[in-house]
Amino acid sequence: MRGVLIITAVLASSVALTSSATAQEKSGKTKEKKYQYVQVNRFEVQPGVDLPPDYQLTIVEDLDKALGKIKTMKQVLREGEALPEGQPVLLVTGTVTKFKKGSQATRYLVGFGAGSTVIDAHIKCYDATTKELLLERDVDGKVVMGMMGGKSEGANNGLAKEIAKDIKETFF
Amino acid sequence: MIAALVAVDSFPNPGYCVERVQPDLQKLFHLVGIPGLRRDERVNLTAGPDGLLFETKKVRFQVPYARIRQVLLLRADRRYEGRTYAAAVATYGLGSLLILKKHPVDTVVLDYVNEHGGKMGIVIQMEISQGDLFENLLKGQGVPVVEPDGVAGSLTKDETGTETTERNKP
Repeated sequence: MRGVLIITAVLASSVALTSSATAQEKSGKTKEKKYQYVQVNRFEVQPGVDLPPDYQLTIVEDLDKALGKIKTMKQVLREGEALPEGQPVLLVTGTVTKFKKGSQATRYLVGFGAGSTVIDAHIKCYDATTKELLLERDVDGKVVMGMMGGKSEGANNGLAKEIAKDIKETFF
Repeated sequence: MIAALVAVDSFPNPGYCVERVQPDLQKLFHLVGIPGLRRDERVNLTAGPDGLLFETKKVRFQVPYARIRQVLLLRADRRYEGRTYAAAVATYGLGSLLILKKHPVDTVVLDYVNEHGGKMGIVIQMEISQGDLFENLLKGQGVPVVEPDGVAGSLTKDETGTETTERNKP
């Protein structure tokens, strides 16, 4: 009888803990889910990383497109644009930390991961008004295979999609 | 009625028709930046009196010269997957070696600002002969084109079609 009571008590307390944690999680998410505007700054390139300038631009354009697909997003702002008054804006900045150019021909003719294109970046998300750091993460984009080896620009696209996914999960 | 129709038809270029102006550069490869266009879609470019006009059958997008901040012209390479695939199919796989062939092109990185002052960009690729023409067109409109020397050192290529390297003129 005593054993049954103890088990019941333990179960009850665990249920209570779980529900409180869920509530906290929900309130936390609700707190973060206040953004409907995002401003994307051009990514910087870490010294020593040979990233072609067209790639630098492509990352932002792809990210802009990927963020624009989020349903609750009202507008993706560019660096230099005036922020909407009275609206919280999420500021996204990033630094490209690694770029491996790869080779489409090697990917196609050799395969097994040879010739893969890799772009690594470190992103930071701030509140544009308070400058409070809200999210910091390492992300990457890779092209390992694809049609005729897969285009290397797919790495930019992959990177942009991963960033958009992180932002969507955290803030939208 | 029929006579009227015949009469109208006999004027192939009546006065009220405006002849379509030929674009300055045709069939450029759009990589990124033009709204409504996919990657690698072909686009025509006209250097109008007010700005650069990018045009396809469905899309018409103009960038005024006054908003252009920088134009970079870089040497690059493209690979034509479509042709490689066709060659591979036609030759039972042997034609897939065509993937090794690179086609030299010029890559244009156009930096401009939108009407709100936000930084935007367009990347297009064109044949090398078109690159020279593009440079002259922009210079004619007072827009300088940068062919980076210092940058190009760190720009060394990549493919995907796009191996970017220093654009050395002969």
